[in-house]
Amino acid sequence: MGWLMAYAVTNWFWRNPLFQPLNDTQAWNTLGQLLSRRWSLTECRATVLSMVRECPDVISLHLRPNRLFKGFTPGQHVALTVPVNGVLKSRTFSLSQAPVADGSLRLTIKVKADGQVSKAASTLKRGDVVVLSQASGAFVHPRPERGVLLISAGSGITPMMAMLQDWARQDAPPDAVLLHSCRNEAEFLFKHELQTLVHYLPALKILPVFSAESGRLDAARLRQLVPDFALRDTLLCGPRPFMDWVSDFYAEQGLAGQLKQEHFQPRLTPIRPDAEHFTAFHTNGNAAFSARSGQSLLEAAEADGLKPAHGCRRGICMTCQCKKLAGVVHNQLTNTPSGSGEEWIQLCVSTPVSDLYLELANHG
Amino acid sequence: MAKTFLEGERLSQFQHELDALRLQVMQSLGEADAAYIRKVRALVQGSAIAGRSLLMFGMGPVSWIAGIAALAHAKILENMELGHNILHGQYDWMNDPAYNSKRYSWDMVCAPENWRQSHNIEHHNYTNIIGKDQDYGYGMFRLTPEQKWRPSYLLQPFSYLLLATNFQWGIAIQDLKLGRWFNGRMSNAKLRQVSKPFLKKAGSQLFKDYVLFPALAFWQWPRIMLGNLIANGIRNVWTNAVIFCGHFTADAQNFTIKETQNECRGRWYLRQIQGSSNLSGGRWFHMMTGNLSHQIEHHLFPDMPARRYAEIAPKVREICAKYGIHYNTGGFWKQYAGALWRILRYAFPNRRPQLAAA
Repeated sequence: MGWLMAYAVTNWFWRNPLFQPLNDTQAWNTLGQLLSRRWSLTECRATVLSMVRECPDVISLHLRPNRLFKGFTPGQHVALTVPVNGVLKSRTFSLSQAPVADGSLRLTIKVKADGQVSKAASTLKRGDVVVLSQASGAFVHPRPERGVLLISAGSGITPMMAMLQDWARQDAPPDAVLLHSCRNEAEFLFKHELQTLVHYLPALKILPVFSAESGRLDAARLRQLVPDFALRDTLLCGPRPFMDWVSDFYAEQGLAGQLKQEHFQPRLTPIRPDAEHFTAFHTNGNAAFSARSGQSLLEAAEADGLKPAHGCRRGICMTCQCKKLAGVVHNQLTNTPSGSGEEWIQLCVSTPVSDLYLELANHG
Repeated sequence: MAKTFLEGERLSQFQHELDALRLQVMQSLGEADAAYIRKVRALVQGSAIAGRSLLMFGMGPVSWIAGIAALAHAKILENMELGHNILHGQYDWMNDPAYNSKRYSWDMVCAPENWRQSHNIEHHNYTNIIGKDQDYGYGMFRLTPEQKWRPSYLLQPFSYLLLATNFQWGIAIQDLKLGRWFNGRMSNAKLRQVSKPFLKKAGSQLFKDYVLFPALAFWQWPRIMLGNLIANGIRNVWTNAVIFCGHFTADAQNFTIKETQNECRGRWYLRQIQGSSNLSGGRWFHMMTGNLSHQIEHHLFPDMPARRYAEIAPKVREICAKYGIHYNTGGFWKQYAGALWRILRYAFPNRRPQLAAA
C-alpha cells in the first residue's frame, strides 16, 4: 500500500505542469547525462560497446541499453536513432542475437550507399551513445511445435540468428532448416557463427545458395532443397522482390497460413515526374487526398475537404508543418526536392512528385 | 524618409537574390547549428539553476543580487534565443521533440499556441500594416500620423511605462483580442474559450515563481518572491526595449492595407526590410536579444536559425544598397530613442499628412 502511495505521489508530481521546472524531464536528463551519458528518465539510450564489421558492407553494433529497455523476443527489431549532420534520424534494424545475461544487444546493419542512418551507424565508436526504441514486431516464433523453415536473403538473416540462438538453448530444440540466399561466400553473413551454432543445435540444417555461382533461388530450387517445406512453419525475411516470389509461391500452394514474413524496406513510392495526379495516403495506408502536379499539398488537401492546420500560406509560419513518412515532394519556396524518407515538410509550399505517406492531423 | 518601390524585372531580380541567399543558408544547416542550440539550452538551464539556488540557499544581499542577475539572464536568454526562435520553427529540421515548435513552451506567461497565432502568423505576415499588424502599437499606442488621434493617446507615455514593466502580460493577452470583447464583438463564451491556454499557462507561471519556489525556501520566502518578481521585471523591460527597437524606430516605415494588396513575395521582402530595424552590437549583445538585433534578417527569413543572421547581414545590406533600399541600423540607444520619441510625439495630435497632388 505504501509503495502504491509513493508511486501515485511521484507520478502526480512528475506529470503535473504546476511543478515546472522541478519536474522538467529534459532538464533532469541533461543533468543526469553529465554523470552518465546513457542515463535518461524518458529515453532508452544505449552505449556502443563495439562496432564489428561482419562483411564488407554489413556491420554489427554491440550496445548496452539503459534500464528503460524492456527486453525483446528473438526476431523483433528496434528503431535506432542517430544524429546525421544535426538531424535526428531513425531506422529499424533487427536484433541479431538472442537475449544474453549481461543485457547487451547486437544490431546488425547493412550499410547502404544512400542509407544515412546506416552510414552514420558505421562510424560509431566504443563509448558513443545512441537512442533506441523498445523492441517491436510480430515476426517471432518462440515455441516451435513442429519443423521450421527459415528463408532469408542478404541481411534478412539477422532476425533468424536471434531465433536460432534462442532455440539452441531450449530443452527440445526444433528441427530447423535455414535456407539462405546471398551473392557469394564472402557475403554469407554469420557463416562462422552458424558453424558454431550447429554444435548446440544439431538438428539445424544450413543450406546456403550463392546466386553468383549457381543462379538465383527460385521455387524449383526451393522444392528440390527442402522437399518437406509444406510440413514446416516458414519464416521469411529479405529484399522485397525476393519475399514477393516466395509469398506468391506459398499462396499458390495454399500454404499462406504457415508463412510469417518480415518486411524491411520502406513503402516504395516511385517518383513520377510526368504524372498529373498523385495520391497522399494516411499512415494506415488509406488514401487521404489527391493532388495535381504543381499544386500545393495544402490546397489539394483542402480541395478534398480536409482541414489541415495552416497559417501564412507562404512558407514562413510553420503552422502547416506535417511529417512525411515516405515519398518525395518539391519545395516551391526553395525550389529543391525533398528526400524520400521520413522528414518534416510544409504543406503550403510543397508539391508532390510521387505518391506520399503523411501523418495528417485534421483540424476541423 | 521615403519608401523605396521596385517594379517589374528589378523586383523579381531582388526577390531571386534574397531567395538564393535563403537557400544557400538553409542547405548548409547542420551539426554546428544543432550543437549551438543545445549549448544555449544548457546555458539557460545552468543559469536558472544557479540563480534559483542563490536566491534559495544564499544569505545576504550579495547572493540575492547575484541570484536575481543569474535568473534574469536565464529568463532573457530563454525567452529570446531559445523560446522565440524555437517557436518560429527554426530548429524543427533537427527532428528533435525537445526543440520542436509545436511542443516547446517557454518561461513566461504567454501560451505558445496564442503566440504562434499572433506572432508567427499575424505579425510576421502583416508586418507594419496598420490595421492588420496587431504588433504595430499593440492597440495601445499611436506611433504614426496615419493613425487617427484620440484624446486617450495623451496617456500613452505613462501606459508605455506600464507595458514595459509588465511586457510578458501584454504579449500574453494580445491574441485574446480583448478590444473586441470590450466592444461587444466577442461573446463571453468565446472569450472563455480563447483564453483557456493563457489562463493555464499564466497560472502555472505565477504558481512557480510566487508560490512553489518561495514555499520551498521556508522562512526565506520573501527573498525568493521579491527576487523572482525583479528578475521577471528585468526580463520584461529588456525584451520590451529590444522589441520596440524592431519596428518603431525613427526610420521604420509603416504600410496601408491598400498598398499591400496582392503583394508578391518580392514586395513582401521589401516591406519586411523597410518595416524593420537592426541594432548594432557585439556577440553577447546579439545573443541577449535572441538575435532580434538582426530584426531585418529575422523578418526576411523567420524560419532560419537566428545564429545565422549575423553571417548573412552583410549580404542583405549589399543587396539593399544595390536596389537603393534604406538598411535601418544603429546603436541601441539611438534606435530606442527613436521609438520613445514616436510614443511621446504621437501622443499629441498633428495635421494629417497632405496627399501629394495627383
